[in-house]
Amino acid sequence: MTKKIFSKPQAVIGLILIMIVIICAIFAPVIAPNSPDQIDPSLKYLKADGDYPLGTDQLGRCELSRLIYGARYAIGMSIPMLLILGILGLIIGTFSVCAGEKMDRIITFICDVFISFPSLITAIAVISVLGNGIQNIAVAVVISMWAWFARTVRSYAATEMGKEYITAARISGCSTVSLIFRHLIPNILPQCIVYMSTGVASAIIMISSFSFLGLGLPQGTAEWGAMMNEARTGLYGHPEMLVYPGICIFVTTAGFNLFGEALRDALTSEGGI
Amino acid sequence: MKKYFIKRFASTIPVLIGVTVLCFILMTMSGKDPALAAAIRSNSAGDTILVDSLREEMGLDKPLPTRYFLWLKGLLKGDMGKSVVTYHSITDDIKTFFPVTFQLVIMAMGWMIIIVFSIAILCARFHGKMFDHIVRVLTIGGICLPVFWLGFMLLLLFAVRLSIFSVVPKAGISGYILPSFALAFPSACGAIRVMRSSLLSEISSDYAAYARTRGLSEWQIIVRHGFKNSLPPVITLFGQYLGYMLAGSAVAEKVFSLNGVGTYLVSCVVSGDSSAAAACIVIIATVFVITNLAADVINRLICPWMVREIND
Repeated sequence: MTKKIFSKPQAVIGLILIMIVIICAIFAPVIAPNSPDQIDPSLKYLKADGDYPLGTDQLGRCELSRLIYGARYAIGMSIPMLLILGILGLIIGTFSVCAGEKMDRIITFICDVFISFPSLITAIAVISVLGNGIQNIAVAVVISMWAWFARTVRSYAATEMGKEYITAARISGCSTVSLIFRHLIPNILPQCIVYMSTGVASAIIMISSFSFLGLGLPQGTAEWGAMMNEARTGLYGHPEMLVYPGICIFVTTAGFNLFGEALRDALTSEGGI
Repeated sequence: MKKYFIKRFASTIPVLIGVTVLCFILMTMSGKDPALAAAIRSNSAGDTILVDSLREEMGLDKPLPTRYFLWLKGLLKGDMGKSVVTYHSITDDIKTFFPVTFQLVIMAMGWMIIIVFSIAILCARFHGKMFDHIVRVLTIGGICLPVFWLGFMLLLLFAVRLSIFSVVPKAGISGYILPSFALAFPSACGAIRVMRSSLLSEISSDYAAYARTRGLSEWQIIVRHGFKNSLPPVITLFGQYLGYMLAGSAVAEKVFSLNGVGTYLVSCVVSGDSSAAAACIVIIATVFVITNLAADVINRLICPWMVREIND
């Protein structure tokens, strides 16, 4: 399985992109040439040189350092969020399938209601209640996306429940809880991981859309979307400040999408889905 | 057929009720007291008697379920109350902002249909050739593009470098060309992939093989038979994307300095204007439910046999 994945150039490219971004996020203080938040108006809009490899922004902050620190927000927020979403989805989805028809209907209905809001709108609504803050963005994204995860896991679990080994486990006296944890979850986990890995990209785009709109993160944060929001005024004079953060978002999301897709292809050809 | 439509229409009603309940809960939870806000505006926040009488006048002293039904009644009549912050009528505000967003999303949908249908058909026709591979790479990239970045790049290229369009939007359709394209492109890339694989599975099916033995050309098979049969998953996707683009319009409107519902919603959220925000959210969610419904109905009408397999 692993061999199969890595024989594809698509998967390798994706993984390399993901690793680059993760390394930037972890070792940001070591890699970044300058402090990302040090304001020095006398240095504003410097050309690229040795000290400032990509120049400086409108407040004289090192652009490259800000981009590198920006990886921390993208990775540090999206991956924990996806883990929470994945666990929530697994619990709710499998519970829904195993808890009887009535419960299943109720949970499906609640999911339907949440899915009838476009996720960006739900997240904006949640932010409007909770106010700004990193945790609140995380909560908002989780509330806006959980129903999709729960519904997807539910559909995986429902197909799995129809298989004979589940009936066999039931007959041999397996309780519902151990049925879920010992049989159901291990069998649907690969598909769920694939679904999660493609979800990372949409979570990253959603987070940066938020900070671009000025919701969620405090002003001046070195986050890619927020940086583009600040660079808006320089559209004529300094368009490069708009180009760089976008490339970073693009590279990160492309990495996760490429890898996730290669993972799905490998799984499909094994007869997993 | 008739039975299915009635069932499908009926199934949206509980969802819509759920949507309004959720919006109402959000609105009441956001913690801003409309009566107090009104009192602050008239510089008499300390006057508790006034605040109490205002509260009574606005119906805030009633229990929550009663307030919900009053709010819902207003909503159905088209009266969404007054904004807590600006004190404008929310209905009037939405009437001024909605046409902008509506035009934007409809044009984006137009882009989407043009791009997706033409490119997907070409991909299916030249499957496995150079064109197909290039499109595959481009669409994988396109999905990852954030709308706001694409918007700025289009502005840089067409408005700053080439000055074909202006940075500040002009009135009329020309002002919407770039924003609607930026909004549509990432979604269109996703839809191309779905339509391409749907078309490919159609033209490799038995009836296509039969058509081939009858002497029809590949083009005829794709355009006459494959195209129509490959539509259902694409139309379902379009129904969803319409809602996403309505939500994503907030981002596109900000890049292109348009004043639409998205900008209005974000400004409401920033200023803590929960009643206006809730009204916007209810409208967007309702449109989303309706477009999904419309997609199902269209699918049922153009390909009754396929949808039956999926739903029944």
